[in-house]
Amino acid sequence: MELLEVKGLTKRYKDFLLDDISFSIPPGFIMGYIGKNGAGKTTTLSAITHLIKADAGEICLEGMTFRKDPVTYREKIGYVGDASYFPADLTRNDIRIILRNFYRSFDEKKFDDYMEKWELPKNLKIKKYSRGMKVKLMFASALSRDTRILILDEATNGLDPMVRREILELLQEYIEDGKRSVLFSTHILEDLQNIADYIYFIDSGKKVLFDTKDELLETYLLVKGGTEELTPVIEKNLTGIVKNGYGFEALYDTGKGDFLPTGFSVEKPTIDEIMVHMLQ
Amino acid sequence: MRILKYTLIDFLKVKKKLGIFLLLVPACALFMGAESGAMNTMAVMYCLFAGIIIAGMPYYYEKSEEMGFFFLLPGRTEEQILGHFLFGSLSLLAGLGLGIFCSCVSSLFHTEHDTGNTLLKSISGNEPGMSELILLLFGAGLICVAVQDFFCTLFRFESVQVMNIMRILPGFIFFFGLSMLLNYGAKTPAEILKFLFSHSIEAFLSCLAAFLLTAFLSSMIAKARE
Amino acid sequence: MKIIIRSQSELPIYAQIMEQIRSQILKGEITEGTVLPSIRKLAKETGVSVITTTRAYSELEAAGFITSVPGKGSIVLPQDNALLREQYLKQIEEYLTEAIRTAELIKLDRSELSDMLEALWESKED
Repeated sequence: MELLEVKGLTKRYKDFLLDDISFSIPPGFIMGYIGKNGAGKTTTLSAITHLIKADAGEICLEGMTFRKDPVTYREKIGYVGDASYFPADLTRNDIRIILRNFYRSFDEKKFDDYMEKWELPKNLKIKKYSRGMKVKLMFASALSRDTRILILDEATNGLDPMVRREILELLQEYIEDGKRSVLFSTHILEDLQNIADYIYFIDSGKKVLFDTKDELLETYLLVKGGTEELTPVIEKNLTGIVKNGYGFEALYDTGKGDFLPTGFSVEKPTIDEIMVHMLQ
Repeated sequence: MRILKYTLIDFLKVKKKLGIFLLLVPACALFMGAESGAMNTMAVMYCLFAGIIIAGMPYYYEKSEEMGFFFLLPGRTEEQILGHFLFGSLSLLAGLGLGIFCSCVSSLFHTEHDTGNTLLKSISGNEPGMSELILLLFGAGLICVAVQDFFCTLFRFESVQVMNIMRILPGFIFFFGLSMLLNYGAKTPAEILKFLFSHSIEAFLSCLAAFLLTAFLSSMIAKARE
Repeated sequence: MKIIIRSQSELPIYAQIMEQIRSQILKGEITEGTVLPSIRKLAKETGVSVITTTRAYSELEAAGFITSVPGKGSIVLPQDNALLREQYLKQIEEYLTEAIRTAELIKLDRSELSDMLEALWESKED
């Protein structure tokens, strides 16, 4: 059974439509959810965590919908966003009390260990926390519980590389038992480059692609050459051509293209480069 | 019960501010009461007013950025709303307790000078009728909190302005309305008040019923919307 | 066991892992019967995705280097001579093909290449 199944998720706003999004994540894997700002990433994740109500579609977490059992559904999700979602006047102890009262699987010792490890001050109001501290508090609240899925919405924005690295290691540790998964939306694509198993690319509320990361990186090649060398035939075989004063850069789909003319520089693209060129 | 846990959250949100209230309100109550000579009633009213304001304070924190954690908690919407209402009523109760306490304190100082309250005198004859008044005030307080919470529930995602108004308006109507009533109401409303006075328990119970009804209505509405 | 992943490399990461484990087995640096780290543990330690390590291991299994035992993990198989020999032969073939290609680039002909091979073999025996 898939850990998370999203079928036909649709949400209408005044000038935006999240249109028929479907995907699934098996247990024990990391899925990167990518797209530019405003593409619909937060809307999708908010619908999955049920912070907003979808207009259509079905979302199943371990075979269970929110409607059927909202309490258990919420217990299973650990969510970290890019901004603090705590009431600003509370302290970490207040959060601890609330967590203890609401979540059956809350492990106080684990929470305290994280507080100590990350040196989060005891009696300081959350509004006085730095950005990094707020994110760490969100992670601590999510990780000191027994969850089935970690949903991260741009959670590593604005964090320094060391902290980001620490978090990526935590994510890999999280899925190590093969039973839990991570859904990670970000536009810091280097974070996903190595550890993501699946990539879902969304743009303007619609799916652009959904594949394993390995497959994606093997399917596309980054082709570079001089602009004079671009004949119409060659152009037809390339996607997302970007020209500058000294040459061009484009994606070549090894599955679709008829041929790759020799003489061009060819290299493996990063997920970043794939995204940029596909959005051209 | 999960409702109580939501009430606990409201308490955690406002506890930092309570310190000021606990000092200021009784002080004002005692001071202002001394001025008007209707010490007892003023004290209770002030404290109830404070209770109404405190009841509305958790809604101040219902800005979307700070609400994520709250909405992600495993609990039902109805429980959230009822938790708010419970907090409101407990806050009123605390205000009432404090008011009665202040009343008792003030009565120590005013046994001779108590010119009493014209309204009270005209309604209840010679008996001060404090307990009936308190009951009615508490009932009025419940109605205010009910109105406040109802509108805040309805508008909590739509309009921050409505919520801000609603957190302040009922309290002020309560306070100034009743102040005026106590000072000038001896004429026309006397009949109504006389009636209410003699049926203070029933009046209180209907206020309580209205409060509970509003609470359940709000929780149903919030759930239906979700 | 040593695994080093180079993101600049031409090879996809699963192939790098596979290749490195394979060569260490062939060199005897990883002995038969050794239990390799689990797919997930390897993924976590090297910082790559689970699908990648899964693929590396399944390719190694298909080539007969390892086998997966339920409950234990992936175990290095005894490398019987035929398989080992075949792998080595394959490797030699790859190197020779590369040498021929390079020779063509500088227009070295067949007999000249042969002579080079002879000379090298002779000097090695000294």
